[in-house]
Amino acid sequence: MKSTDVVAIALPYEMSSAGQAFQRVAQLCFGAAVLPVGKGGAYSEPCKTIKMMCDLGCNVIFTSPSYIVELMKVAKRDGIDITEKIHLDMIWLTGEGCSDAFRKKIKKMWGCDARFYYGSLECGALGIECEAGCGYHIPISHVYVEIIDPDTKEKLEDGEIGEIVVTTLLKEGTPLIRYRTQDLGYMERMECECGIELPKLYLRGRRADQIYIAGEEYAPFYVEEMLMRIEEVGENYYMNVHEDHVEVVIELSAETKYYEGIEEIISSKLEFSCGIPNNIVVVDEIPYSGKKMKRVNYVY
Amino acid sequence: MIIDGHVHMGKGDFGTLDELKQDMQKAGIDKAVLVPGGMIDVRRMTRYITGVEKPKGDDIPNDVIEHIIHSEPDKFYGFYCVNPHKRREAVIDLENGIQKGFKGLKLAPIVHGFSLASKTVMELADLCGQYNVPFYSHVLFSPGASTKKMAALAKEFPNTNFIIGHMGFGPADVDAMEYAAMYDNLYLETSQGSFAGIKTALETCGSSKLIFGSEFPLYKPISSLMTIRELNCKESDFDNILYKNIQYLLNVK
Ligand SMILES: [Zn+2]
Repeated sequence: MKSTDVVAIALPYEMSSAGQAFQRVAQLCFGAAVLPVGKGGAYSEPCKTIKMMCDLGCNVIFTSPSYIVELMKVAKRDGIDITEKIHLDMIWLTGEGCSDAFRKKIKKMWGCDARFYYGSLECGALGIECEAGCGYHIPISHVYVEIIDPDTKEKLEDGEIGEIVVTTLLKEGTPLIRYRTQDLGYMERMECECGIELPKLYLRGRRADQIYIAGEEYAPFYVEEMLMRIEEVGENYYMNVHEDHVEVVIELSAETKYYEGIEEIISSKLEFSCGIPNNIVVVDEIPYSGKKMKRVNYVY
Repeated sequence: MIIDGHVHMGKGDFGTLDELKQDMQKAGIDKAVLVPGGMIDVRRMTRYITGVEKPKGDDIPNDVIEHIIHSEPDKFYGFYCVNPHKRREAVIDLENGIQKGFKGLKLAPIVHGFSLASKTVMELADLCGQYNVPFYSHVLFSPGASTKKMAALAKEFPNTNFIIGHMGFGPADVDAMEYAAMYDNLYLETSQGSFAGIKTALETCGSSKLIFGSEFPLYKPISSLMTIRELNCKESDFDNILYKNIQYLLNVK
């Protein structure tokens, strides 16, 4: 980022440190102009955000994956061509898990780069993607990150997937020692394409979100990756987990027209790649909830 | 008598009918089961398995096979290949294929990317049972086209005979062998199988469940056959593997 950037912070400012934290970084560290558009507050509506971004020449946005999709939809509804009217250089995605395939869709619809920022309310920043767009660089002067086996609590080797555990190094008011994030991931020590030689962190979804069907375990993170790779599938979805299958409610992609039987084709493609017994339901629109997107719901 | 149970034939200039005939003669193979090929350039196979390159799945050369089995019906048998994503059309297409003289179904999950548990695949399996022709598919690491899903089909459709291509997934798919032992209607085809894998299968599910195949043109029939010869089993076991089992499944003499 640079001082001439106009940065929209479309993250919550209330009951969360996210909005304010990013605003401070943009203003104090880079001297950039900030549009504190928020996300879902009393005055914060997606159409107003789009208008501000257009009028004030916004080129960077910090927001969540589901909200950037909502902004795109609102712009479309209001007849605004986002790639024409808003010239974004970068979308920083945070707050919700997001697969690489989903990110690719977001990049395509906004016509710019999109990177992940991994952090938590409790610990602050935990990982930042570089231009390689593959794995997080850890802000090691702020946090000490370890991967443990969630059952035995033993520390795992590089490359082994386990729970991410964080010790904060600078927090004075609320220090945390080996805080269990419930997020899953692994670390790798290989020089990054960008030249950084320090260990990188890779996320693999959340421990509590795992889907269990007929004794098999499926990672929603992986299911999303495979779902988003299917060309017929649009940018919004959620899953209802039943006892013997998962119902996946989707929108179709802009290029896809509905035809009878498309559900079976998408279902078969999804099961092919991740094995999950599923039933596809196509809807015109999944309304934005206004809250943090909950993509996995247990209904039994 | 030796029948090669798995040969690919397509439209390209790699692995032509002339080459196949020469290779069969060299190996002493009398007959062969042809399946459509060329949707994947086998000379770059790993790129397809890793998903880096995408197969040309729309152009299935069933017509090439049809021409050969009609010109030399005593030497060549054909398996008809369909894309299950075509749904009802795929089922109708297979039925037409069988009526035109094809003796089995060949599915290609790596080319078409479908689940073996999908509705259309079930309909295809059912149709194969009605016409008493075998259902052949390879299995992949992809969980929707796994050995386990193929076995679930065999259980669901006891009147259909199923052939798992290439001895299942990986160098020694013990699950495939155990399923073949468990289900009367489930067979294993040996091409690309390792010596140790085929040997273990012989002990696990017996020679009555193994079908010799070469996977021409990715492999030379003579080398695939040599792996079988090296099993050093009884003559009756060789007969089962090299022609009797496939003759039984195809209803031919
Ligand atoms: Zn990097």
